[in-house]
This record gives sequence, structure tokens and C-alpha cells, in this order.
Amino acid sequence: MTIVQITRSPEPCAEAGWMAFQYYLERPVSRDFILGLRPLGSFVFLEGLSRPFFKIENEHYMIKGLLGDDSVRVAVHGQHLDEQAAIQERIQTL
Amino acid sequence: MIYLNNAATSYPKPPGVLAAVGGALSAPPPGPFRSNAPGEDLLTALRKALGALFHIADWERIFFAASATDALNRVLAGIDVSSVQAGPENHNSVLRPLLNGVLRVDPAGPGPALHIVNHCSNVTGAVLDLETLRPSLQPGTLLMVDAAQSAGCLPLDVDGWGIDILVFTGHKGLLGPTGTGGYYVRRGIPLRPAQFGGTGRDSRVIKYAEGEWEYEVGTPDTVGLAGLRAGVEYVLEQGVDAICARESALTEALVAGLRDIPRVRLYLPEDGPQGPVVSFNIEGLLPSDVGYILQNSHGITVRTGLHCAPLAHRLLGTDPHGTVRASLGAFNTAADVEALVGAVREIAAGL
Repeated sequence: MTIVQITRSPEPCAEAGWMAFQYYLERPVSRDFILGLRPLGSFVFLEGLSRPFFKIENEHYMIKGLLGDDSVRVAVHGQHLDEQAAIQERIQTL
Repeated sequence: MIYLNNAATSYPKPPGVLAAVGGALSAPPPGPFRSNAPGEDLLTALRKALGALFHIADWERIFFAASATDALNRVLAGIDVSSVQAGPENHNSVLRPLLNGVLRVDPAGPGPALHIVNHCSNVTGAVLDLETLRPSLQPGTLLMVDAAQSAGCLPLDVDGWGIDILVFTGHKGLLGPTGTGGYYVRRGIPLRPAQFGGTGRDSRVIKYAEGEWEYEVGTPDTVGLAGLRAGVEYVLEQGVDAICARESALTEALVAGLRDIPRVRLYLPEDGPQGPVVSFNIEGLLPSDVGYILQNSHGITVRTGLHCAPLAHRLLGTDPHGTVRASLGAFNTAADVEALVGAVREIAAGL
């Protein structure tokens, strides 16, 4: 999945202590894309919602979003900003 | 979009506010003491309107600042006290100045004791009973009230309740633009100005005589204050009691709707009335996740996290992630409340 744009999140305060970004993707988020992120950390996938929500979290970062959206929220702990490169690499393999 | 974040900044604004801001930009600047152009004295009119709203007879002692935070810092930097008391319900705009050396406290000095309270919690909506507070304080204690959340939403009787210092912001319940706010300091309280500069009055005076201070320096934000005046006039026309009653009814409906949802935990005032602020969490989800789903799936804007009130959250046991906060404003409807309750019900059921 190609990342077409990265912007700072409009609500960084909501992720207190984290630096939040919005990753815009070339295609809508699919179920396979979400499941492909699963190995990165603890996994929440609320498939019963009208627009299913997912979140992957580990001690360095979290990725969350909605099935069908064209972007995901990536929040990286301030001390681990370099993890973004690994996240982007992972997303581009999906 | 359904906007339930009025405790941060109210939205939308009354049409009169938009017109006033536009009018202020398209008309010659009103400049009391700074121009010979004709025009109304905007600042005096706004002081009088605020005096009427807050029940301050000595409205000339209302001064403008850029926000409640700006006003709090100006006041705390300008008074000398022998002691200070401020509870955990206070916002960081009080806590941070106190804990970072802004206020001069000399226990052996002649200054009075200072008691700082938050009229309405921006976390739980708990409303402090100011009517009975003054008699409970030691005589001579300065009573300072942070009305950032309550001004325009709840009745205030500054003179009747014996309030010495009142701080307010313009962009919440007063329905004005961001960048506006101010404070009232009872005449006789020695307050050193935080800033000095041009006031347009008596320019020959360069060094002030002790106590003969001026508090508004530099060219004022007449565009923002014109908008604030329109917001205050809207509140006065509607009546703060009527606004309060309407927002209370919506708040009660929201609490009633959320209370019945399994997995939802509400953080309500222990007792007493509640302002138009409701905090909650959904077990199994972080508040920031709930906020994400509400915004991106349901188009409902709330605020999540600690709301700049970390000690309040510590008391509630919601530190470090905080809560989801829905805050109602003058233009919210029962349909907005129903939409939020429905969205929360769906999220909770999906866990």
C-alpha cells in the first residue's frame, strides 16, 4: 500500500505524550490491510461497528483507523520517532 | 458535523458575532483616546454589558485580556499574598502559574490569603456553590473565581457572592471569538500590572505613582472585542437563566441516555448541580479511541484526554488517559444528544 501523504494529526493532544500523524493511503483500508498490521502489536478490531475500527499498539507506537477510510492515524511515542520508518516500510509491503 | 466541544470553544457563534467581527474590520477602527474619528466607545460598552451579566456594579474594574489563561497569569503575577489555596479541580491555567513561581507568596508578609476556585469543572461539570463560599472563608481572604467554563452558561453574582477577582474567557459560553477574555479585580486590591506601555491616556505620565496603575496597554483587539460584545449581548438578550435551563435539560438527557448503556462509565459530580459538561468512558476502549470513532465514523466532535486538568483526573482515577468529554452549548439540540447516545451505544455494543 502506497502512502501518498503524511500530515501532522489535527488532534495531537488526544495522544498525550505522543506525536500523531495521519497517513493518507492510495486505496481505502481493507480487512486484509488491517490484518496485515496485526503482528506489530496488541490488536483491537471492532468488526461489529457500522464502520469497523482497528488499533494496533505497542510500547513505541500505535496505528488506528476505520475500515474503508483512506487514511490511518499513526501515533509515535516522542522518544521513538525513528520507528516511523519501520511503520512506513510495513505499510508499503501490504 | 455535530459539535459537542463547547467547553473548549463554543461553536457556532450567533450571527451577530460574525456581523460584529466583520463590521469591526470594515469600519474605521474605534479608538478611545487614540483617534479623533467618531465612533462608540466599544470597550466601555462591553465593560457595562459584562457588569450587567456578572452583577458587577463597579464595571470599570473589568479589564480585557487575550484569554482566561492570560488573565489568570496577569492577576497571579500582580498580587502578593501570605498563602494560597487551590483545589485539584483547578485547570492548568491556575495550577501551572502557581507551581512555577508566578505568584509571590510570603507567609510573613502583609498580603492576604488567596482562595482560588473553579466555578464549573471542565471535567465533570461540577458546579461550586459560590453563594455559600464567602461566609466560610476567613475574613480578609481574597476570593478568586475562575469562571472560564461558567461565564455565559451559569448565573454569576460577583457583588452578591463577595467575589474579589473573577476571571473569564470570551470564546466559550460568552460566544465570542478566541483571543478574548478578561478579569475583574475589586477596587482597592493592589494589583501590579503585568505589562506597561501606551494606553492613549495621559501620555506625560511615564512612571506611575504607586497604585495608580493602568491595566490595558497597547492597541486593544477591537475586532475580537466587538465580537465578544455581540456574544455578551446575545447572552443578555436570551437570558443566562434561560440558557442555563436549556443546557441543563440537554445535559440531563445526555446523562440519562448514557447511563443506560452497558460498559459506559459516567464521571458525574458527587453532589450538587452539573454544568453542561459530561465525562464518560467506555470500558475496553481508550477515550482517544472513542473520540476517533465518534469523529471519523459519526461526525461527532468531542474532546478526549485530560482536558488540561490532570489533578481532577487523578482524583477521578482516570489518569493518565482521561475521559471522553461531551460539552453542550447554546445551539445544541436534543437531536445532537440523541446522536451521541446512539453512537456510544453502537460502539459499546461492538466490543
